[in-house]
Amino acid sequence: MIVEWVYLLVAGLLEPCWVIALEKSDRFRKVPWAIATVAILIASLYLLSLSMALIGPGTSYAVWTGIGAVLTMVLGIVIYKEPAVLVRISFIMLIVAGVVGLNLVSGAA
Amino acid sequence: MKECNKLWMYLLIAGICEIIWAVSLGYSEGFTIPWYAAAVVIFLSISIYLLSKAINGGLPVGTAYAVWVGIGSVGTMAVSIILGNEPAAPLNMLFVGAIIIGIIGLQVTCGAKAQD
Repeated sequence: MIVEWVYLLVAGLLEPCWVIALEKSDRFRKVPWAIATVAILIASLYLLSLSMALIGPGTSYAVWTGIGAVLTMVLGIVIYKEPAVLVRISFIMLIVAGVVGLNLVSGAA
Repeated sequence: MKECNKLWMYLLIAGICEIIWAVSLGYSEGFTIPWYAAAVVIFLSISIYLLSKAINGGLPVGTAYAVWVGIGSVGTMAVSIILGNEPAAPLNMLFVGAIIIGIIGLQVTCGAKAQD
């Protein structure tokens, strides 16, 4: 009952991890980072698929991308000093709201 | 400015590849149909590679990831509507609109590190 939500949470937390590894790989030229990117991505997708089977695809995908997009934005600001201006954050949150909403609605249909 | 457009082009094509692998995944029946399974792996790889070009070219990771996911979601929804698997309900259109406004907004402000 709880375990599928743990899978989903971990899958979501892995999303910003592979994005950061991808950035560090410099277009897959740094092999250890490239391997890390692929390994983390596969782990994330695997955990997502496990939770999808139990929670349902719409809800799972909504939670997964929601966590992924928000954390990637936050880590980008913290690690890479990406602009923390209101306009940028608002547009990103608008995308997140749309993606989460779309998947929650389609999951219910 | 030209450089910035190129990065957004990578991101757009990466998003389109997202749509193709996501739709293929649905048809692969749990990865048991080889052609669809192969399409998932190939287009996912191209998508990630293009995302890396956009990020390493200078687009912020937060912006790139959100746009990448956004294009994938809007496109997958569009394909579902065209194939008749999903209704073009007002609520769906509202969320699609929000994503598109978000993407265009980020694109107009470019999201390049010049904004620092």
